[in-house]
Amino acid sequence: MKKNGESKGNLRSAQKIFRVMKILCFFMLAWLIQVKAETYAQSQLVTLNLKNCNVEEFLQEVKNQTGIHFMYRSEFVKSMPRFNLEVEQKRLDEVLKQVFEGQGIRCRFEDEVVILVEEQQEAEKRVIKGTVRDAQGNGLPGVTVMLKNTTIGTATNIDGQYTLTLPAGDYTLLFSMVGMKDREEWIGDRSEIDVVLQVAVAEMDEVVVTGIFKKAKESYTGAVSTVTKEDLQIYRGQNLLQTLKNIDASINLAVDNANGSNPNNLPQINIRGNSSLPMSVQEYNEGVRNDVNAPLIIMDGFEISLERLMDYNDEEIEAINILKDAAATAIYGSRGSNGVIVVITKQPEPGKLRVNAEIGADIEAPDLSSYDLLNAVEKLTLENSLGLYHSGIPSTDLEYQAIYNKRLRSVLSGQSTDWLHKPVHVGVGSHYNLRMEGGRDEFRWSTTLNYKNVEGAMKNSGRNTFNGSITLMYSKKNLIFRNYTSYGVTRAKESNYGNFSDYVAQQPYNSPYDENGDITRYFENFYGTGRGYGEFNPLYDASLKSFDKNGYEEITNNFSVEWNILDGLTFRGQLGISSMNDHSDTFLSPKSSYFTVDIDTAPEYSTDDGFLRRGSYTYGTGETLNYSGNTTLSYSKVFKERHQLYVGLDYSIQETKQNFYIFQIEGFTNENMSSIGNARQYAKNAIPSSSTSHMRRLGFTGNVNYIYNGRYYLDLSYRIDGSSTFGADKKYAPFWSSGIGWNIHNENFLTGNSVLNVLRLKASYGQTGSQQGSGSGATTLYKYQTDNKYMNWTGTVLQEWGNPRLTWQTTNEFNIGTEFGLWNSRIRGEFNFYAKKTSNLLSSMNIPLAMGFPSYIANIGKVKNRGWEASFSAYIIRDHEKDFNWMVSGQLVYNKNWISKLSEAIKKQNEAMLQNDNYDVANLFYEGRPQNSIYAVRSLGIDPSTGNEIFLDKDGNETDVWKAGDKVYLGSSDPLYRGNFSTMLMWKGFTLNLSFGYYWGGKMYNETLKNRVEVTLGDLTVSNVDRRVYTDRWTKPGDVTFFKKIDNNPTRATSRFVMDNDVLELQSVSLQYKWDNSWIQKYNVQSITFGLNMSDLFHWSTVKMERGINYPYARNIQGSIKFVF
Amino acid sequence: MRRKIYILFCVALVLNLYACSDWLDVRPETEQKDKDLFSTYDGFCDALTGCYMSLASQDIYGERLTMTHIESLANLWYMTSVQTETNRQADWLLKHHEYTSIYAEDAIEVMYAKLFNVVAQANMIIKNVNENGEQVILDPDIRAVIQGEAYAIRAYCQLDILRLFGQVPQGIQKVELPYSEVTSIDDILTYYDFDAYVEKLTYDLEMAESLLKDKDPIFEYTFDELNSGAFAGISEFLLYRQSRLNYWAVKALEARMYLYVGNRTKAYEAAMEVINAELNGQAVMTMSGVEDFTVGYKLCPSECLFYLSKYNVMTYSQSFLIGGNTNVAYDVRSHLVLSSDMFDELYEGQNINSHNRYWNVWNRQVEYGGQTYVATTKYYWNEGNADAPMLHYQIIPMLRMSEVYLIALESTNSLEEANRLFQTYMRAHAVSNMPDFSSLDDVQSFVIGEYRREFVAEGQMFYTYKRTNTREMLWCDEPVEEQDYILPLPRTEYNPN
Repeated sequence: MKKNGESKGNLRSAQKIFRVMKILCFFMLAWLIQVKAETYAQSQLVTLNLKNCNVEEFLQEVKNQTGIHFMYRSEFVKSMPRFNLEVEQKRLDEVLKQVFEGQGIRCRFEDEVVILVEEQQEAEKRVIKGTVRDAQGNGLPGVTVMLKNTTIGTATNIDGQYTLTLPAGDYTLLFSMVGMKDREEWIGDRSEIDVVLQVAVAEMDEVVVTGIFKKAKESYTGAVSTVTKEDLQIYRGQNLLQTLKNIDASINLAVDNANGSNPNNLPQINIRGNSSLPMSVQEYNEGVRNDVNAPLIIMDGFEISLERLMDYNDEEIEAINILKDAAATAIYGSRGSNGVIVVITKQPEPGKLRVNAEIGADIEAPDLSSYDLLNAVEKLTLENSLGLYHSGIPSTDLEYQAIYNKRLRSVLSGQSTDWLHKPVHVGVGSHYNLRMEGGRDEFRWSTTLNYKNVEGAMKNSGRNTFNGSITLMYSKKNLIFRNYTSYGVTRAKESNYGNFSDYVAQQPYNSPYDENGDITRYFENFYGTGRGYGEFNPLYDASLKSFDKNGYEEITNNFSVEWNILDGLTFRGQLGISSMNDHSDTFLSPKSSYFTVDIDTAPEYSTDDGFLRRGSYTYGTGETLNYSGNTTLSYSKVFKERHQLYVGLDYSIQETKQNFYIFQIEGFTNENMSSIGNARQYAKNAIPSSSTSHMRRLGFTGNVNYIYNGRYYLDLSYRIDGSSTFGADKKYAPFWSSGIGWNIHNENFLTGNSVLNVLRLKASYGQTGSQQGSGSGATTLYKYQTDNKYMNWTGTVLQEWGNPRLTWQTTNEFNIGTEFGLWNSRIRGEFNFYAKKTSNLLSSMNIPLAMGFPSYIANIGKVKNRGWEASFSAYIIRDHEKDFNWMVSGQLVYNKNWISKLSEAIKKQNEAMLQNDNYDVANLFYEGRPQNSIYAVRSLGIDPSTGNEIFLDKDGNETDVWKAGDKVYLGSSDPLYRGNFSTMLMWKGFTLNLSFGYYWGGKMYNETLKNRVEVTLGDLTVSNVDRRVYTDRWTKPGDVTFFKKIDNNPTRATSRFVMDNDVLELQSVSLQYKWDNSWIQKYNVQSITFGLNMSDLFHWSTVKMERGINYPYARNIQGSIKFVF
Repeated sequence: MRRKIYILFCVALVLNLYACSDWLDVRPETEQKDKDLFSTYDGFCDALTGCYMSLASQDIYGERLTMTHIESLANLWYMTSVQTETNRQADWLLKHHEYTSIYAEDAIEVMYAKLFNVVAQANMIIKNVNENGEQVILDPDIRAVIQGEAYAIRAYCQLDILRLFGQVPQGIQKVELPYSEVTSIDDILTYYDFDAYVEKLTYDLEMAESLLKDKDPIFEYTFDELNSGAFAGISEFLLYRQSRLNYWAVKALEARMYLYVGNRTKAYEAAMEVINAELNGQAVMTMSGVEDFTVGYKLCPSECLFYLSKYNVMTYSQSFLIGGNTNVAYDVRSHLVLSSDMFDELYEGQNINSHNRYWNVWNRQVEYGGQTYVATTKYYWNEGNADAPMLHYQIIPMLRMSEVYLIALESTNSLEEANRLFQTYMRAHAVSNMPDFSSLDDVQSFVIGEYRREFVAEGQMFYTYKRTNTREMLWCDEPVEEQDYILPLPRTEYNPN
């Protein structure tokens, strides 16, 4: 009998897999599922072509083909209607399933015999019973016992006993009761299951995973916010980082107006403000990435890169914890001060095979609403009215007029090119997900596959990611082994259309095509072709075979073993290895304007030798190898019922080696032959370049947590970090934090209070560090001068004096916060105030030049951040009966940042920049001012009599001369307030969520006004302009305008263009419907979820400016269907 | 239970073995820590080569201290009398000895910084030879040569610091200057008054000399022999002695230093030692004449006791020196040339009929606005038919036999000897029939003018004016005050004492 049961199970699971396959086949990649060894009979192949046959005829035919006998009761087979059947070389079990599906008949394979049985008849054989008790051994009445993911269930009787009849299948029991922790039991072969339910001390089971330790939320003093997998679904944006920003306002993605919605752009993010300074003002202004403030990202205990997180498959994620303050991040020591993002992946769930499959479409629709350009008629009229087609020299005047008339003719005949839409399209991409899991309690497995293809709004730009992973878990007695292997591939492609700004600038009266419809290479110069090449046609370059792409493959293996040595004492060991290969390929076609038209470069490539050098290829290749390991020992124990103690110790090591090489080659005769091997030679005067880094660190962490009676608690952390990036005298540094808290809701006077369920106060103070941006500086270094030579030798040159005392940047942070929950958490809120001081900032320290170098890297400078974060959520409607919920939530974050101390070297750089009239510096650093500030010369506006701008100099005197030295501080470019609010409606299977983001209190320098409105005459001859040039500029004495007259003087940094930047955007809208009724379950589909996510839909701002300079912004729309089998 | 804890302890212990500081001691491969570099013989060689490469930087001898700024200080280049927006700002200001404007300050700062940067690199070599040279550089001769050259490099740079920023040797005003021996940020920079500074210089030169004496391969082989990569007799690193501060270059440097500080006797002795030096009965080095100019070597490679190797000198110098380009119009914004009047004045009183410098190092075809200008072609060559460019063209002369002869001429007490040296000197210039000097004063005035002619774009004239504390510079409209000879230290500098 037992044997029968097993083969039955096999049949069922096999059947089910095939049904799943049928549904998946039409959209999934070929995916082989290996099923356990099958019996001979069911895998036999049959070919049938039966018309209007009955069951018996059918079975006879099968028997003839296969020799298999059937056993059945003829009365119920006879009641089946006649049917047609046409199959070719199909497996027998599939054929049988097809015939008997929905007829209440099941097939059981017994060696060479197939038995047909009635479905109900068989199900009655499975009855499960047992007793549910509490920890004291008393039977618990009224416990809900459900088959997980079904509506079948029962409740325990007065003695805690239950009996449940099981339908066919493989199930997990779910025991739940108010006040008790839920418990799941996989049934397997058992017929009797007794369980003990533990008392759920208010939220006691809520755990904060910090990446090193697991801590009870009830006694955690750190500031942390948790993002659940459901949140990830509902707030979904273009990529995971966007999604996180949509959920938690304390994650700040810097607005990157240049790169817009480029799917390949890695955003700059920070948590709770900037706390590091760049090394030099110059670098900062030249837009060197401000990576120094990026948070640390930990996945299942191992560090990963920001780019990897961006490309991560969000279906693999169970939750994300964002650790914000020192009490939370001190356990990461020298890496913790920018905050930590902890990603927790899903664990395989035991039970029968579960399949999650998702298919979706991703749409990127360009949003060009911020552009307001002139059309051809307007542009030509403007040019003419400004006298651009007139000259004092009569012969030239005639020439100009001829050009004007030619253009006028063409414009009047209808020529006007909409350049803006040339390089963009509605990008339609797709994504696919497949997750399968199963196994028993001892051995569980899960596997995921994910493919995502984002087609960017610029034509031919896109990002493809593929992720696959396998997780295996094995538990034996008190040991749990887990192994996670993942493989990720990313392919990024930049648009061959180049920069969007090139199209914005095109003259609307130029046509990209000639009279034959062929693409033109370049346009005539503003004053005619007689004066050399004009602007080249960007569409011509786009039609070539140039490309710019990059990608990486990463393989990761994380292994962990957990050993419950004694009750409460746990040891965990982890080892992670990851290896990444990245590569970049940039090919410039030999026909590119760069070689043929561009005034700066074309002459070099037009000589006899230069001709052969046309076409270039830049190839980069690199690899990163990272391994890390840690061991953790934790002990938790309750003494005398009221003293709860947790002690954790962790020891970790990590080594990272990275290198990247770049080679340039040139001389491609045919653009179709872009393989590196077709190059003529290595690029002239170019040398291979490389960047390498090698880093090791180790750390020892300790944590003690004590709770008295669930009410008062104390949390202490300590870490010693060692790193190879720091000075010889300072290889190790300590970090620590301490925190206290009070669970007021556990006080006697509040227990049982029906209104106030949660009220908690906590305060913490600690010190963390930041290693980033500190690759060198500790040691005296030499560098080989491979691009130079001396006779036949190459030498090595002293690079900098090392500072053996160099140490970590340290951040001291104070946090005080409160959490509350009212009416059974119907209303919840949290408030945190923080003050953060980063000292020992790495910065250049000036020394006399006679020391051989102007400066060395030292720990000087301080930055302070102060602010608060408030979040609030409430169920306005929570109706279980009608299954209708309406929830609103919001967040408001305030942050003020200022520099409290600066090095003399940086101060001197500021002065030097102010001295240099030609350098229109955007930012300067001053003590007492925010790190991201705007400096410009104060303006009194435009003089109505002359059309010139009037300035105030440094001392407040009126002047009409602009001088860099007169720049003053005009405000911070970081908003003071940021936040979001959202409203979510849930009714039956429907969920509708609208999420808005907003920020205000910052300033912005409106570049559009400078680049597109207050242009010079010279600009007009080479570029299209904003409509406001036509309407809003000073033209004659007496005009009171915001914009000055049109002349050849470019506008320098002026306070006129510094504007309040207050923004409200509809950052995401999502609509989901979950379909899980019995109708679809009949087809063995447990649920189907339809989802529609739209992000970046609308953007309202007080600043009217062009958004997305090099790459336009796009509205992102994703539709998906998700199946659970 | 006990066993479990024991196992656990062992695991922890094994992991802890990693926890030593050495494990944290790693670096990427493109960079090298000083202590790693100086743990190999090759490291010492490469660091020394690095010093020479830095010397050849355009910030100092690659350009500013040979071709542009230093010659502007001596008023050698033609410039418009009024400062305009477009001319070479730093050069214009330096020509007018206005040192307080930002462009002049920046230019001075760059030169000062780079000189001390080279000194710091030399200091590192000196220090490391002392500390672990014996273990790493096994051959004591090579060890001595490496350290000797490092001392000489330091002396070369520090002498020019003195010549640029120091007091006028015959003047009244006193200036203290740093003499750098720093090898880390913890070392203290010491300032010295003139006499003490000269003492430091003398010490370094004597150290260099004593280390190189007899160890330098130049005591065994000729410069020519060593100028071949195929020469198998000695270690490759000891080849090409002209490109390095060899023993005789140090001697010449000593002569230059003594003459500058006013010690004529010692200057004479050192100069004569170089002139009279012999190897196997042949003079170690003679002046360039036919053998260089007939084949088109304009930088007198065969008389260089020390030159810097600079493979791309023509490429970059053309943009401001024009060189031999004949179809380039003079452009006030970038070019440094002589006006044709200046050129005539330069050779006034000279017998130019066969003067090989006069005929070979100038381009007289630069024109603009109907005027003719003269550009130097010293750093220009015809790539088509250049023989061994590395040895003959891609160089920047630092110490030449011509200078040694001029030092001897100027410092000898004997009119007779002066005339003898003078005849040899002129013969090398292919000039005959020059009348003898009638007094030592005549010698002096010839020498001053000859420095101007001989070392155009090699950066020696300013120092000649300075050591003679002359009030009148040729082509300078206003009198030159003592103050004008003393470049101000950059604003970053302070005397910590």
